Amino acid sequence: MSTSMEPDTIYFDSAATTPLDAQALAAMLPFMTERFANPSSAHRMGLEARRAIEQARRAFACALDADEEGIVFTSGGSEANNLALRGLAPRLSGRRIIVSRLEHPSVHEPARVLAAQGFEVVTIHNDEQGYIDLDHLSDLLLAKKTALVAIIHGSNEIGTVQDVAAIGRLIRAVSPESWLHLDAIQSAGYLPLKPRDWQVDSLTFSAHKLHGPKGAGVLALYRRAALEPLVAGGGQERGRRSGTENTAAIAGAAAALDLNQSQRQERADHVTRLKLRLQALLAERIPDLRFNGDPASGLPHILSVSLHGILGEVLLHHLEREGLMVSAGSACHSNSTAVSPTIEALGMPGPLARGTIRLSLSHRNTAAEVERAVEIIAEQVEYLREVGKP
Amino acid sequence: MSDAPVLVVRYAEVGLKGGNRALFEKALVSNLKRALKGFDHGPVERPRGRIIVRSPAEPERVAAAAAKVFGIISVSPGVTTAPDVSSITTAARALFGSDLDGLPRGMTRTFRVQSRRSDKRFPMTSMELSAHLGGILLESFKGLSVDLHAPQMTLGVEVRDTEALLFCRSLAGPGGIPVGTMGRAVVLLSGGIDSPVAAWLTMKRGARAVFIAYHSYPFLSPASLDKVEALVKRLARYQHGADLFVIPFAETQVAIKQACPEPLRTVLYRRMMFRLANMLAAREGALALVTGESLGQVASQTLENIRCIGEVAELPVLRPLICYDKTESIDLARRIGTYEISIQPYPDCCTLFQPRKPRIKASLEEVQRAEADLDVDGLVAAAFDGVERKSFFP
Repeated sequence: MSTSMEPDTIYFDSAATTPLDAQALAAMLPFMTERFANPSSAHRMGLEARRAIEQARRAFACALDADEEGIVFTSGGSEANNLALRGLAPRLSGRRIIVSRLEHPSVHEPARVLAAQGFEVVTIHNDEQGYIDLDHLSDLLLAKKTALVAIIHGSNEIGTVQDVAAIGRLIRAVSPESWLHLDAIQSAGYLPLKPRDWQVDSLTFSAHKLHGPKGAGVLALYRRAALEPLVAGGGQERGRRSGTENTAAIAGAAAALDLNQSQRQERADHVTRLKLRLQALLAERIPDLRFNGDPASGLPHILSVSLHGILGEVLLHHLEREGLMVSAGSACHSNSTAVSPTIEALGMPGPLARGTIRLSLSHRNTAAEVERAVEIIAEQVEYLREVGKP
Repeated sequence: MSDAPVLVVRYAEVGLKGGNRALFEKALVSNLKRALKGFDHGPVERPRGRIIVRSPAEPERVAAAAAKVFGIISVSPGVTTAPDVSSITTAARALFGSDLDGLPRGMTRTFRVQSRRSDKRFPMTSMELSAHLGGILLESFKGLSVDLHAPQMTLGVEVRDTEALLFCRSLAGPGGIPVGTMGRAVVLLSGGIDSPVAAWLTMKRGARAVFIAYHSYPFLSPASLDKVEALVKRLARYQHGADLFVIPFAETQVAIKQACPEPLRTVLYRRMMFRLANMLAAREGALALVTGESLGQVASQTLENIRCIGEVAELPVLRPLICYDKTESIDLARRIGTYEISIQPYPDCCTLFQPRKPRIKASLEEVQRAEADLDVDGLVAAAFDGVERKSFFP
């Protein structure tokens, strides 16, 4: 069994993480070698590192349409989501938190922490493609004073993209005080972000989803608010996130973002073409499957498929053996198969839900890889359906 | 002769083995030396009935390492001094005083002195020496009283012709027989709680474990194999290294699922596992198979099913846990350090292969009939062909 990327490996797991762009690596290296100083150091070496961080902050402020003061660097997307929910909610008025059922665990879990602190956490209904029900959201907002609404822009598991503009309008009309937090971690690499037009109050970003380094995330704030830090200490990031800044990762994140911005449309078009081709070929080759979400207008890079008569994780390991890396929408435990909350929210019958895999692409993938991947999947699905027959 | 630290290592059972005694003792010393590799210490000597480790640099840590070696009953960190009354008295006071520091102050402490002398030229009898030292200690330290039956502290003194050994504390060893002296046994290892405990008990009785594991990649995650490896690595400490043989088992399971009656699957999988273990035992020169089976614990562990499975074994099958309750196995697993590894949530059988309703009491006849349509020899040969060996060193 090989443990690293061999030449004929097909990597269809870009929603999990992506390899580093050469440009990002080049931007990082000096800060891991000669420019190693602590950005808080008062000497000129420290100042040099500080300047790099502030330069990255300007780049993020520009790309995310935020003020520089509104950019908080974190250790990644999970910390940024945690900071948004656990840092903001206690300082806002209202005791209700509203989340969608498609949220990433880094939103669901902090919401549970808040629930234990006395907040009432409620979830918004969604349809079978994962689109949230705006009427239900409106009812939830009207029923009780709401501190915060958290929505995932593009689902990390099924790719469904929410109509954030409509959500923003609704909140401002019904409950203008409520804070709207948008998890843009999967969408940032592919969709134009217009947080101010959408009347979003905060947004989260993660560098490693778009060929930046792991360990770099951003919470962008669009409205002034007191924020309870999760990490107290030396007062970095205006006291909102203490700890010596990861200068290299921040510089790498800015470089990856820069490259992504200049190529975003191109990358999105390429990936969309591949995804639609992948969908068409799978539909042609494999009976009894269902595409989740709304592939035609969802995130360009994510295709979620549920297959009858298959266990997602078992298929994953069979595909991996053939050199195709994907994710599953369910995990095998000792005596059961646990379906992820997002897949569960789609209301599929259990056996179909357990057969869910996620194929996620990047601009580095090719049409030939798509063809080959479909061959591998069709073969393995046929074999496993045969083996799985009762 | 000045006082120097020593470890006094006691063994019992190996002393009883008649003609094999020298062999066992030699094995014990060699196992002990290997367990102490990496620690700084002087010569390891074997005077009659005892092992003495000279000048350990960190007596506490060396004693703890020694106390894990099978065959050892107890280990006492102590000192050696000249075999005369005045040296013994001085050493007793120093050793007892430093150990007394470890006890809470302000309480009355009870103690006794236990002396033995193998050098009969020594001017006092054992009783006289104990009484003499007891008197000295009572004079030297406050708040002591003598209790011969259940003392809080015991000062041990052994007078030999060339030295006197004194010690205050002892660590219990695991007992048993030096590992390796009983030959080798193939242990069928799953990722569960029981089979590692069965392996440990087998090693404790002197057999060296050779591990076999069956892995159904790609129906299972490679991560479940990491768990098995972690278990072997942990168990390797008790016998100074271990070999794990991993057998690819997916094709066998697929074949059984497709050709045989569903309720009998579990018994049939296990019969194939035993056949593979036979082959490994033959190749590795092992004389027994070892499983973690416990009577009635799961469907495959009824007497009927154990019989059906065991029928294909070509060697004696040792089942050390056969009469253990689960809680007893768990307690032991915690003690030997495998429990935390075993409870990691990786499955060891894909749900796809598990029968919905396994047969609780299979008959030999129906099991043999079920295998009629199966290419048993071909499957076993193909699986054994894919065996992968992994060696672990502690």
